[in-house]
Amino acid sequence: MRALLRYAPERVRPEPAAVWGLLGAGSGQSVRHSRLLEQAEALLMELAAPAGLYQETTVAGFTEIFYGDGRNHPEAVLARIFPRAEHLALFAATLGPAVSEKIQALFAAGDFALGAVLDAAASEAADLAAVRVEESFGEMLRTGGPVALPGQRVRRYSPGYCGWDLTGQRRLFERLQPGEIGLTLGGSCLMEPLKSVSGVLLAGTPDIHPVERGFPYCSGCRSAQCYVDGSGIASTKNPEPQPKCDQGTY
Amino acid sequence: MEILANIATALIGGDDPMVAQLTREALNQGLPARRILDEGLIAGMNVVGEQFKSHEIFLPDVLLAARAMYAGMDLLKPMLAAQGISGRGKVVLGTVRGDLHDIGKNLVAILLRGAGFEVIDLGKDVAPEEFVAAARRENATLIGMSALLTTTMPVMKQVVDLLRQEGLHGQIRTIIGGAPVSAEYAREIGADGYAYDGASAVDRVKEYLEAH
Repeated sequence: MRALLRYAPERVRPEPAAVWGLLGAGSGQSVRHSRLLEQAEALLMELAAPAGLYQETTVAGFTEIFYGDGRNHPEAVLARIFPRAEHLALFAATLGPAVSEKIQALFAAGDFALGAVLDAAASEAADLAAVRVEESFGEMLRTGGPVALPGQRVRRYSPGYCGWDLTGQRRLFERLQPGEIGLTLGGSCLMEPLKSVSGVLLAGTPDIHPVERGFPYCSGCRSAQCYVDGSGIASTKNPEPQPKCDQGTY
Repeated sequence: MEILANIATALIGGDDPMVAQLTREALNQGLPARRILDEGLIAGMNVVGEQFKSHEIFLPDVLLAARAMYAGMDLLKPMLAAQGISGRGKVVLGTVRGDLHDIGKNLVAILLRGAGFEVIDLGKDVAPEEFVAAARRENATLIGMSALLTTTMPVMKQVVDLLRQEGLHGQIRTIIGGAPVSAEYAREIGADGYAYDGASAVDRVKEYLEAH
């Protein structure tokens, strides 16, 4: 199954604490900071055109993508996860080009502070767009798709993380063809528009997901999207309230 | 002098209209542009830099202060240029070829200018040859490179290698930064230094340029 998804900007509105976190600050900001964030949020809501895409695949299909260029880390944890997944889907999510263009324009005009806050807000919003795609896939499995095992959890993994080399983007894009939502890939595996996320969604029992952050590449990872919750890694993003589905699993 | 202290205070508060107004007043009082720059604007940015390093303030505050610094600098630039006064040193800066992420590089440029350095910002997607040619042309003794992708990190080594090939190693220093980059990687490719963030980039540049 392939699904094209469009979301209202409001559905990717970031939490203020997450934006300040990306900017290296804690909570309890001043009036001046709040004003900056309000301006950035207003621009984000005006300019973002969140869209997403997922396309189901199989373990065999993803094996070819994952091992494609042979450049993954030898201890890539994802290699231990995806063969145990019950359902897999390639995915991409983007905010569209207008937000990135505005960030560039703000810096060019010398409005550095607003540019930086908008950049952080947009990064967070792009991740939230990926969360929305993850949720849509989980919802499809739960309600309209193949019969899912009780207690399954969907989690997303992206090239450049968890030992999956960034060059994995090439095969991922060849298969997913995300041009439908305006996404292209440059020679250095850079997505355009910049505020985009791509990867694979893996659904399975919680124990298939890793419960540690001690892999060699973890030390260089600043995304910190994973944490131990006792049964696997869960997203720290602010998921929307989900339908009752057995403690957040699908 | 009170007006210079007031410029610094307005700058620390990110009040760009006030910085511009006070800078004009200082010029009207006959104060030399260099003194206004050093004892007003740079003095203010030094305080901002220290507050940032000690986590008293954070990035947006620094950027508001930088904008205020620019408001004053725009007024001083013609006079400084006419008097042949240059900055504390010249840095060629860019995001390496294949990489279009330039927010981090922009922040480093802003902070370096705020600290009184002259920055030749080559932008993003910069080829190794462009870095070296710009450093030669501008007579810069330091190249700063940024990369956010693991796929573009090797371009940093190409710049370092090109400097060696052209016999410029040691004359032109290199500092690298960006999310996937580390001090270990800097050593591995033969770069002279690594900067974790904008504040440490300013420190590294000060160390290298002031040692010459």
